[in-house]
Amino acid sequence: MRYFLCPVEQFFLGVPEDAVAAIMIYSEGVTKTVSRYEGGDTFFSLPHFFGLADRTVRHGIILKSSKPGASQNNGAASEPEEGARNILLVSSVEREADVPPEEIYSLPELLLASGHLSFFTGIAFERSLMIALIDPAALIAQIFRMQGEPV
Amino acid sequence: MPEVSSDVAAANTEKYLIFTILGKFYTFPSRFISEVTAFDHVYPLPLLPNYVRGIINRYAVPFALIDIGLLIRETATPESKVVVLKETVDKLAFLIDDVVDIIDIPVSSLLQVSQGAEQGDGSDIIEASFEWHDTHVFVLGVRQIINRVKADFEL
Repeated sequence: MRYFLCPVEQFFLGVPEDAVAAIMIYSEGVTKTVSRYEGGDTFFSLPHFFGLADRTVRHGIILKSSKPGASQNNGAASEPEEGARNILLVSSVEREADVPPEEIYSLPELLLASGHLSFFTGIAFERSLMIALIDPAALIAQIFRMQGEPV
Repeated sequence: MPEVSSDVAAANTEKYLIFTILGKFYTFPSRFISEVTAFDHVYPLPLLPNYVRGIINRYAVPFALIDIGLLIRETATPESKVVVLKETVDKLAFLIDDVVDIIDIPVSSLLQVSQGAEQGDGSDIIEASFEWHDTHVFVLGVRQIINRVKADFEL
């Protein structure tokens, strides 16, 4: 499976390409984790969510819209309006990579016990690099949960 | 008959790996342990309590690296050596100063540790203790550590 790799401190976040509609250049300032705009677009700043608010955001990952009744985004609060988009803001999308399923390992039970990190679907190592793979829909649901919004 | 006695004695003992963390003695049953290795590199993950230092790479498998020094005494353990548990226990590893010994301990020597009123005293992650060379050795509880991390996430 192919992933877009985004550097986060000492590892890469892996966003599955099949969940992505497009990549955009982003040059606006970001001041908070969730920003909603007219028309329904919602921007999720991952540097803010990860406590790295001083990082510059350069790219946005526009996610594919979820189909009605699909589990993506996990509920009404994160479900975009018709034509609206969910966009993950990241420091940068550095490159793409193939990560074979047999090289992906689940996180330790310790880190999954609370459910806070269940948006990480697995870890893979590429030589000295660590890639933490995510489920974007689960990540958005967790952001809403931690912001105290209904999911 | 002597054979029977030694068999009974063996059945009532368990082997423990004793190690130090910030100079204090801790242990796991050796059947939990996969290896002891030199610290190499840790990949911090966001949103974790500070005593979960991140992920280490053990033969391409991710293990969570726990710093008991930070958890119990709010002092970072030097990045020297790492005790790695068996994957069947959980993918956990612990920073330690060094290994001290491997010993057989009679089950009858284990003292249950009562839970302290304060979470910060560390008793919530200690399963038992025993006396060894005039000092206390604390048996770390894997399930208790997982419960502690879960509770700290929920704060």
